[in-house]
Amino acid sequence: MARLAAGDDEAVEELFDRYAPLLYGLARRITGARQLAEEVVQEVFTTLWTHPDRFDPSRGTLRAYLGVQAHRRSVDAVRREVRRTAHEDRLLALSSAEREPAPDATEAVGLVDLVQQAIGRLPAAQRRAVELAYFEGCTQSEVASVLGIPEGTAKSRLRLAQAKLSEWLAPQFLEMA
Amino acid sequence: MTAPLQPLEEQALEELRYALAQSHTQRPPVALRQRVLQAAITARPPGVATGTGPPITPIEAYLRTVSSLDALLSQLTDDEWHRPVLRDLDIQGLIGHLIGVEVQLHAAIGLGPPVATSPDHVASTQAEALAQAGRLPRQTHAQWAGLVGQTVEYAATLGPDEAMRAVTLHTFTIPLPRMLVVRAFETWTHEEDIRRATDRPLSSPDPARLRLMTELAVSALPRGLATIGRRQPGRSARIILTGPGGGTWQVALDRGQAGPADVRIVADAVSFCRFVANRLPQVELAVSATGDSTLAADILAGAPTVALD
Repeated sequence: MARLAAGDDEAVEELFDRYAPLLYGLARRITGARQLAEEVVQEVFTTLWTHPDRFDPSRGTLRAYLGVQAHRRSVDAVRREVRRTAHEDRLLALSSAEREPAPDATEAVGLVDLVQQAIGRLPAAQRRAVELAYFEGCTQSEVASVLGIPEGTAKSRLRLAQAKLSEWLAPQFLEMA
Repeated sequence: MTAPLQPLEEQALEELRYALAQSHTQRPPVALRQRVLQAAITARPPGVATGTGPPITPIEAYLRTVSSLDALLSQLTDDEWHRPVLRDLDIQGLIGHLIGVEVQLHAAIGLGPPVATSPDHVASTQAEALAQAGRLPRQTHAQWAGLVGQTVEYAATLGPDEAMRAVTLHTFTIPLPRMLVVRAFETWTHEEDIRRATDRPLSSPDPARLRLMTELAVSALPRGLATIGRRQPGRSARIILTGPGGGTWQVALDRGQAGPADVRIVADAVSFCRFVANRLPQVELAVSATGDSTLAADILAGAPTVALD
């Protein structure tokens, strides 16, 4: 991020290569339209480049920050599109989009239950690693240190857990998106 | 069943949501990459760090720098004026050194009478430095302030063509605006010398001034390599100096145009200026280098050799 702020345009290229597939996939699912999704991705990266200071690393990862930006802009894009066309079917889509904006308190409560249930299904060793990594803010090496296991083992547990959570939770997350 | 996830904050939830979304990515259209990059650099041209503000002239940079030193000198007690500061000089002697440089600059630009000089920046001003002994500090201060004031006034009266004529001082032959940036860099460096000698906090230049100084520091890197006998014809570096006043430069490490970078060096802008001024040891410079590590080591070894001292 310091490179972005310092005017290093190669940093934008690197971040695009790393995160554009995530953001584009997200935007495609929300907008359902290739062109809108491309506009969303362009807006997210342009804003990151022009205002890199808006990302606060103390509040989370760049991936989550960009994900939230893409989500919000996608919902906005859908709303704009609906207003523009004013077709009945689009109005229905608008209603759907408005019920499910970026996570609000109501949505978060629902997700808590889902996440708790999903994490509860994990084997104990993976469960603890996930709790440390996602909810206590530990890095992989800190997870390894807390659990007294090699870093490679911690990484492996997190990867396995993430694959399972992805399988169990992604449908709900994607539906909400 | 695991214990309740409390507190499960929205932030943690979003981290998990987008970590999981990572496994549902979709390759964007090939053309989107170029379009995004073009839109980005159109919205904000690359090269200049955010928070730098609008550019200022070299005259303004020198004026701000001498004003800052002038304010500092006005705070010094008589005892502090005699604190050891650099080489064998006390602060009064150091200001005498700056008087010597300014007198020689006046001679070079036709503002003052010709004076004997030598290519050695320190040796050529040593007489003025030593001549301050026995004078009142305020006399030394006033003489220096008067000289730099004349320099700034003179430079401000020059037309564009006249201002760009080459000026030779010590080993430099460069246009006057660039010479004023060199003078600003040296004056700031000595202000910090005085701050260290009197236990005052260091003072970073404002971003607009720093921008001119970082440009100067980066442009001096090829000379540093030549000085240590490690010229690098045909090779290039990408220098990224972070923080307001910093920026990004693709630098040819010898003559000619810069090509693809063989090495990328990232450092804090103010720290890099202190490093190039030979006031910050390399071991204390937080620097990240990727690419040709031998080349990076050579660049960093050569950089402080351009310091005027």
